[in-house]
Amino acid sequence: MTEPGNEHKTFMPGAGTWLGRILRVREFLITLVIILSGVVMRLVTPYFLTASNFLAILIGLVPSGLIVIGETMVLVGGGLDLSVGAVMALSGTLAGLFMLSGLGIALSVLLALIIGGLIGLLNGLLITKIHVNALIATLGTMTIARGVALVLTEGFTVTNLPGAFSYVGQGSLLGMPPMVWLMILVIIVADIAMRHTTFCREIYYVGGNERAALLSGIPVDRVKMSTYVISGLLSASAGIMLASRLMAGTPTAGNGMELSAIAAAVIGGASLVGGEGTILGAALGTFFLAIISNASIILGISIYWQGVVTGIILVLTVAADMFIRQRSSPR
Amino acid sequence: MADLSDRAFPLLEVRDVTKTFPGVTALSHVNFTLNPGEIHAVVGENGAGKSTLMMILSGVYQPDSGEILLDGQPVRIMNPSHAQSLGITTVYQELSLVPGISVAENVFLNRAPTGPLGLIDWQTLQEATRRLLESLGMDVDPSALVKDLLPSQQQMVEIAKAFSLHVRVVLLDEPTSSLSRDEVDRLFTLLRALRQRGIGIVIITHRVAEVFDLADRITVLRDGRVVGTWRAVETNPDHLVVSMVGREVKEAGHRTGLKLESVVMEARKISTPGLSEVSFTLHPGEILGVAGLGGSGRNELGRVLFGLQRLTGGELRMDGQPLKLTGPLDAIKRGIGYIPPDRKTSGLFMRMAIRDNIVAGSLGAISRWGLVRNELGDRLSEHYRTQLSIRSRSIFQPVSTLSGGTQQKVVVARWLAKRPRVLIVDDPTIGIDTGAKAEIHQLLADLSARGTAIVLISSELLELFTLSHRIMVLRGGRVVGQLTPVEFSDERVMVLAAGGSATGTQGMVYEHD
Ligand SMILES: Nc1ncnc2c1ncn2[C@@H]1O[C@H](COP(=O)(O)OP(=O)(O)OP(=O)(O)O)[C@@H](O)[C@H]1O
Ligand SMILES: [Mg+2]
Repeated sequence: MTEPGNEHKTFMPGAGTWLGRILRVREFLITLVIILSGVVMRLVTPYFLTASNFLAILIGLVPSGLIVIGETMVLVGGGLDLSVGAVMALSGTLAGLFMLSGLGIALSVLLALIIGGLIGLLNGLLITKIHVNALIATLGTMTIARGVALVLTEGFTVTNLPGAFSYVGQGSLLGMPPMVWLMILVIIVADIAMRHTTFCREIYYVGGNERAALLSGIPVDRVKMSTYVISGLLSASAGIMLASRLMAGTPTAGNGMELSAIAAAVIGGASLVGGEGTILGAALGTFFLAIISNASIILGISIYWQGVVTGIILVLTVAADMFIRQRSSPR
Repeated sequence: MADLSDRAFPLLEVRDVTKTFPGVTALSHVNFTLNPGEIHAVVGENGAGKSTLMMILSGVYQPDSGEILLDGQPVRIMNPSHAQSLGITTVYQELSLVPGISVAENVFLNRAPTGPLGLIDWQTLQEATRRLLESLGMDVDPSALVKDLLPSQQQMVEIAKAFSLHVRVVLLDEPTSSLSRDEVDRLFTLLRALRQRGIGIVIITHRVAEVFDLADRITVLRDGRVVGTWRAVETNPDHLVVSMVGREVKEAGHRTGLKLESVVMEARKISTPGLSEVSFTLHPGEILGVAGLGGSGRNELGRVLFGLQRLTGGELRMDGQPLKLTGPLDAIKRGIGYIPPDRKTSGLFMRMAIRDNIVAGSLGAISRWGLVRNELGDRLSEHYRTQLSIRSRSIFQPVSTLSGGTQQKVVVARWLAKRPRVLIVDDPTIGIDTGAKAEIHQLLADLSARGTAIVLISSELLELFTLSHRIMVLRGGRVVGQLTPVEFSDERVMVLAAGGSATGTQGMVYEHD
């Protein structure tokens, strides 16, 4: 056999490249920025860095923290899911309506979850079997889901839910509502799964080059479909937890959530062309956006400015990333 | 422009140019000259730095040091459009066409003639394109969409695009790898005509025969250094190969004895669009060569055996059982593998590492309890990186930063790693250098010696002759002959493939060097 004699094995990570590499790990970059914002906020106001404010941020984070996981998986697979916010609203209201109609809490929750999963399945089928563009397909289901939620409730919030239902969102387990623990658990599990399980690795291949994935023996359609189902399920669970926290099913909840989920995933390193992104990055991205909005509230900045700030942050991170990549490797 | 300065300096000169990428020196103190009215071939192994040199001349990369002179004047070529305005035009190794718009618009991309109000003058555009294509001897409809053309036609459009500009220097990076023999001839005629007009041409190719056919001078690159520049008449193919590879390349005696007791796969009069009533049997460890001109159905045969195309008639059998393939997944489950001819688009995960590309087909094999075991993947990839001499820093280097031929090797490695029972390969060594070609041939032979049956579809007769136990010749979608090794000869195959006469042998390369 031939020896790889003249191979360049002596790759010396010089100081420059070492720094470049760390900076290229998006999670590290965001953590840095989060800490930085924390320090700045601490200097500006005493109200920010307190346990109660931190808990408030975490509680507020639950729906978006769950939704961003599914959205990231879809994005990694080269897709896009616009229906997440609407599915969240629909399953929250449905869970409430089921409970009011006398179904037990467990059964209501289960049914709401199943419906979320089915909407995801519908997205997946439209996209893989009928080849509807992902943007159009999920725009369609988003509009339908939102519409159904409004029709069923005539626009009103569903209240008077059974008291026991509040436990997940308002109860306390080791100092935090159980739903916060649940979210943290799901994030950890999903992050590890995306890094190490065979199934999740396949998502990266599908997003990287669909045709090559197919010819390599990866069940492309099944993989894509699963990401949408998972996204649907997570959106539904987000809706249920929100309903539990508010003790109400709100048909208008999660408006615009799809865009902030995509923004958070992209800030966290996902790419709209697929094949890239991590759950940890996306979760940190969501956390970062939540901090910004929390800080704006504390500082009394108008809510209207928040959109502007979020947009600027999104553009800045992506631009910074492109800059770092171009500097550390041409093209 | 006074021609007084004739011969005073070359048209284009590269002086002491060095270019490094993180961890790799792609070019090291390279000197290179191009005279007006000269065809200058650049050859070398995969990763030798040929494309990098081209990209420096076309403004894609900036050299780390050294200079470039045009007409004896130092120039800094800032970017590709600057290169174009200097009269340096490039035909890319990868096509740079926009698939969804017409041929005419692609040819005149951003230079489309406009009428009053700045609107595109479609009539003139169509007409100008038609004239250009005709003058190049190309039979392509200017209003057709690029995505509807055959790959070879797309390549011709790519070339036409380059010639629609005011040109002084033409750079061609492996222009012939996806062209049929006719098209290659036409391209070469065209290049010679341009040479007549005083245009300087730089061409990269892996086909040694083409070099001697066309070039006035030849520069050999190895590991980013210039080994030498010779006038074509002063050197010969053997010498050239030795200076490229640094050793002699020997290729012989791959064929092993065959036991024809069992049959893995059998085709009984299978038909599909482009293929009619093809029958053959395939034994374990056998390499069945498939020869045929472009359009003979040889590509369709590969696709149908992998489930990419449905059977419209006949029957496939595997291990004596009827085989109804529903798609590639199904085929892979039954132990059938396929190396597609268009490996760039259908084979590579560009932004992923070499390791991830190699294990893409073997995720199940390197997993336990649904978890990927990276150490196994690393070991597997390391093994093939060495075996195929995949020139890279490590298995973690992204495939996008590898040279064109090296990328090809990665796809080949993926399928070798999977060790299918039946492997279909369609032109496995296009764009792969002479030395590595011999290695891939050896690996295919080893694989067959261990029992894999291989269907080797190839446009290179020499490749078919060195590897096949049997060659099946296709013409117009039908089997027109089966040859055993004693019958292998250029003439026999060509006569069968072309139907009675050895003329009009498009789509086949017969290179003996
Ligand atoms: N963008 C890049 N980043 C890092 N390394 C690169 C990049 N582009 C090229 N290289 C490296 O530079 C070397 C020369 O590559 P180049 O593409 O010039 O080879 P080549 O002679 O054209 O080979 P081939 O015959 O395979 O096309 C290779 O080792 C390649 O991996
Ligand atoms: Mg190249």
